[in-house]
Amino acid sequence: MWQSRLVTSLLQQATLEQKLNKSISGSLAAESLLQIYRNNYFNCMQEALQATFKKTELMLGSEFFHYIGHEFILNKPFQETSLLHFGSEFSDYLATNDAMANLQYVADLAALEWAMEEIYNTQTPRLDKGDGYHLNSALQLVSSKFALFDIWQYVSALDDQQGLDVAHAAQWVLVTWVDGDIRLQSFDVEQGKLLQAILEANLPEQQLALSQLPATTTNWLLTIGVLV
Amino acid sequence: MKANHQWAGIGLRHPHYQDILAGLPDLGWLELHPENYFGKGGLPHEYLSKIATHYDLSFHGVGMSLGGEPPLDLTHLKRLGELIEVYKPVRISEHMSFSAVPGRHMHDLLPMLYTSETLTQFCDRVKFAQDYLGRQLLIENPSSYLQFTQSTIPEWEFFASLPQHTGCGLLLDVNNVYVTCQNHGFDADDYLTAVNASDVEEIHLAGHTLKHFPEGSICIDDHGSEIKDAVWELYAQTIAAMGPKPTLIEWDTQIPSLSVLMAQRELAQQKLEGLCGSQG
Repeated sequence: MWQSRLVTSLLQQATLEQKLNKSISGSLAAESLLQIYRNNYFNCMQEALQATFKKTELMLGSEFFHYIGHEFILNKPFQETSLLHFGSEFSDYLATNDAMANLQYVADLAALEWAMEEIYNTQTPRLDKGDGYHLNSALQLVSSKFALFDIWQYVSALDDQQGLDVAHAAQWVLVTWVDGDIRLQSFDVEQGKLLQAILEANLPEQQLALSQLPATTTNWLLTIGVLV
Repeated sequence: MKANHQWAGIGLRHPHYQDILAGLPDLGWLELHPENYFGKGGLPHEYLSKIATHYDLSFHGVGMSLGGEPPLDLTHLKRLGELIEVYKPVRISEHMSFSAVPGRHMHDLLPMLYTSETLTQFCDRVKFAQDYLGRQLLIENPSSYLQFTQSTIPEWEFFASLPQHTGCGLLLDVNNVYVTCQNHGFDADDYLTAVNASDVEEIHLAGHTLKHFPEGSICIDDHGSEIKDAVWELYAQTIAAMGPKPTLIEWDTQIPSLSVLMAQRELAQQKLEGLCGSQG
């Protein structure tokens, strides 16, 4: 119980409950001592968000990113022992946050950054081609009704965003790992839906289904790295 | 060890993956946080699998929450066991602290209450983890900023007693000894004297900063700077008393270039070699 009381005090910057206050000793006042642990916790989690969502932070500005990150940390308790999956819910959190109502494309940008993080941390492309073609095991497809790839390019170039029309045309973005680098490719909605259908094919029949694709489609999938 | 003339190692952090593989610097071993490799694939494993062919690895866990109240996370232990099977670390360590409460993992090393009851609970959890993994754990002493008035056992006695109760080894973080003693007015000699030298299988060194508040100052263990002179002195005193031990230079925030890290490592290595020389 005392551990839960301590954590509650760290999460809520409110007056310490008297019982806990009397339980803590050190060279500073109890609240100052707790503030050290409070800073450690929030800084650690904020830094993990910042490391993954660099472009999202650029779009939102550091101050607002920090504010909404703090809300996310408080409202979406993370339970895993490894931080590798911390941030998997961040784009959904942005998408449903009232303060982000007019910035929905930023939630898609966060989804794209999360897809890249997933590729970086958890997925290794299959190098053994064996018989026939296989789906690349290291790819993620991110759908968007905004010009997501253009947004990414603008933010990556640290360009001013004056020429950016986020609603110009919907772009889906494919994230793949090619030769040790993460590659982003943009597709229109029609191509995106075709890719999605291929990627969502059930695995046991996947190879058969792939073998039945028209040659032009197979070549296209090879070119963009979906098939290896 | 793959390079057993070298006692001093450094932490393996992702900004240094390529430099280490390119230069294969002369160092004894590399420490890593296994939680950073809990993914099933990806670039971290690409690099680690190559690096592991050149260096011994020491796994230094930060997520097990051995001092916590909820049951140990079996998913965590299972994944850790898989990594141990693949990379065969020479040492596996964890912390004398808690990190999780029901519903939330804090990803920080929070201070424990030291009583006979929490000692029993902590030891039960260490034994469970060791049995599950089939490996001995080393337990690291914490740096702390507060104490609980209900504690009845001095921290150093709690720490030093763990091997006899569990069969674990100890990871003695000399910077943590310094920081904790400064913050709580303990005597570092009391701390070091309580610890049985033969139980200590790894030593950590790191930087800390002094933070000032209106009511006083406090040492913060931030792993973000060069090791302070006072900690080097305490380290020299420690290895003089305990003999040479594998020693890690820990640097986790504001990570410097590999050359800066290697220069700190060289200082530790020189002290260890000087000790070996003086012991004949």
